[in-house]
Amino acid sequence: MTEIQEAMQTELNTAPPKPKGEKKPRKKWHKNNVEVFIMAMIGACFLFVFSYLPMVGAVLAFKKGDGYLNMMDAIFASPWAGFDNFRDIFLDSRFVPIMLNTLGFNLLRLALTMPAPVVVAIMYNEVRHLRLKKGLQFFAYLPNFISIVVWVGLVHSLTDMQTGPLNNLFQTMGSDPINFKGDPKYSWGMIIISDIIKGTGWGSIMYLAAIVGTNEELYDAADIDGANRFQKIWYVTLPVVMPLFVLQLVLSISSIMGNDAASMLLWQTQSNLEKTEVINTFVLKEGINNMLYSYASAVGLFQSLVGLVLLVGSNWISKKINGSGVIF
Amino acid sequence: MKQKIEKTEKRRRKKVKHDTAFDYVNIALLVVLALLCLYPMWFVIVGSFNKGYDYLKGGVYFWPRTFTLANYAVVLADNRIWQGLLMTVIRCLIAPLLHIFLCSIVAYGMSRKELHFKKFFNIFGLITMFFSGGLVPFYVLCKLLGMLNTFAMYILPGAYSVYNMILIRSFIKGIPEELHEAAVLDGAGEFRIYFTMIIPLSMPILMTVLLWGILGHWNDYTTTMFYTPSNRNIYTLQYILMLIIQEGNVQSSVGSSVSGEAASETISLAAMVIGTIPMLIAFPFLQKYFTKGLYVGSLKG
Repeated sequence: MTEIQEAMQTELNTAPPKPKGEKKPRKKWHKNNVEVFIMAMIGACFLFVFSYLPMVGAVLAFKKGDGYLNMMDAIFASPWAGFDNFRDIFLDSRFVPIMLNTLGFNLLRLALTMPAPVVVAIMYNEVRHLRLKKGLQFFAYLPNFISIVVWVGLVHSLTDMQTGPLNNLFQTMGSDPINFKGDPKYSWGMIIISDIIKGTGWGSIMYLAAIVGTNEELYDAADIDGANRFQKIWYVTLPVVMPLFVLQLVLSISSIMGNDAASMLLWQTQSNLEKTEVINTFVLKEGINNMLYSYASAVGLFQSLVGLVLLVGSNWISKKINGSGVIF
Repeated sequence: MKQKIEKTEKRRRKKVKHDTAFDYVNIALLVVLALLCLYPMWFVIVGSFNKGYDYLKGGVYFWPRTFTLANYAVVLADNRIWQGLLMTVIRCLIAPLLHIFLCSIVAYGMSRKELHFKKFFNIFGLITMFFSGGLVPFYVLCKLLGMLNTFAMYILPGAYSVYNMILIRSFIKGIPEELHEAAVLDGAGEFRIYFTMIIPLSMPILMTVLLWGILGHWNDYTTTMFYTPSNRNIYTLQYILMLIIQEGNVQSSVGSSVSGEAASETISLAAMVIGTIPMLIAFPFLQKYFTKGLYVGSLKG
């Protein structure tokens, strides 16, 4: 992560100031210049095809391309629509609840899943029996290696009304069995809690690496000052992980507009759609299954732009507060 | 690197005199976390070894009540599982290797000071990290390129990523410039230097990216779902698992004496175990390679 940050900051800021009035010396193309240029072009070609051509394809959002069978016609031959598609989005009565779902669910998800690895990393750091710590970490890493398909199936069987141990536990405590899989009331809670269990152990690695890299003298100094363990955590460990946390937060802020559709599609059942339909799944269904290319492109473009604004905005805020941007 | 970590650990442990209440509570909470991670997997394994209709009565939580292998027999007799496994293995062999090759060769090119228009290449890449055309235009593009419902869909779109290129490049930048100068004096071209010097020297980071790639390709099901749904021959294992879990049935041809002992719920559980076991077996051996890249990344910053 930090490399990305480093790379961006150096590369965007280190353009040498051009001497005024002086002509730029012409670039020489020796054999090695050509060779490294070819190497870099390989990457640029892939990006051009798989990242930039879709951006061109995003003109679909400004066209009346819905329902065309031939894709080329949908993009090039269809009449221009101006901003009609975007107007249609907001007039569509289905869209507002989906938008609210997306924002609500993802805000809650970020608020709960982002801090968890930090807390757990600090807790691991406080375990001083090396073997025990390694063992505990090992088990906490495992869920990260389970595919999302299996994970969702697993959570559904754990929370099953008849055979799941969780409902059995609730029943022994005297409450009625809860239909976690189908009842929209419990969808968000179930998804977010299972997300925390799946991702926290692995997420803590990065923070732990930062903590281990801390200068040991800081802890020694705190000892001399008579700091207790909570104070050491608060005044030494936390400031070490904070920049990393903020970077992670800024990088994931644009996911407020949409977490990955891969997991959401699996959580969806017929009965919990009112809470689990989010923009990404909606775009998939409308765009690919119902062939509403223009409408879905417009939704996707809107989502992408809001995500970009959020990213730039949060970077700007961090610049105001810390004096330097997190990303650029 | 590892030594440094262990040294710090040791020094820190030396100061410990005795465990306090804080330690006990802390360790207890972490044990709870480990159990929360472990128990779901244990539950699935237990259920998958239990007879189907007995499982449906509930209460099979910690140990199989009536042991059977029927669930596995039924799942493994489904040809789709083997077909999917074959496709997934081929995909996991080709795609991550191509990925690290492309990312590292571009990373090397981008790390050289001889590269003209470096700023252009950088910005060209950075833009794609933060803005995308969206899913539908990407789908349209794949359709136009004729890649939908072909195996190329698994390999090509993800073959190059800016993120991993930057990760590898920062590793390559740490290789001493003198080695490059010596190679140039010996008359080696840039491609020769890349293949004979850069690849072997950047093996640690390449391994990390490779393993992450294998894991990602093994666990991915959406590519099949969105982009290759009409070509049954190239369905991957995870997509077939999803079908089995959701439909709760398999296209299996085992005798009814065996299938009678299995129910759709326990068959799903057995399918989950089969889809997960390879990664979970490999992980303990490969753990250090998985984490190496992460450690390198955050310690440098």
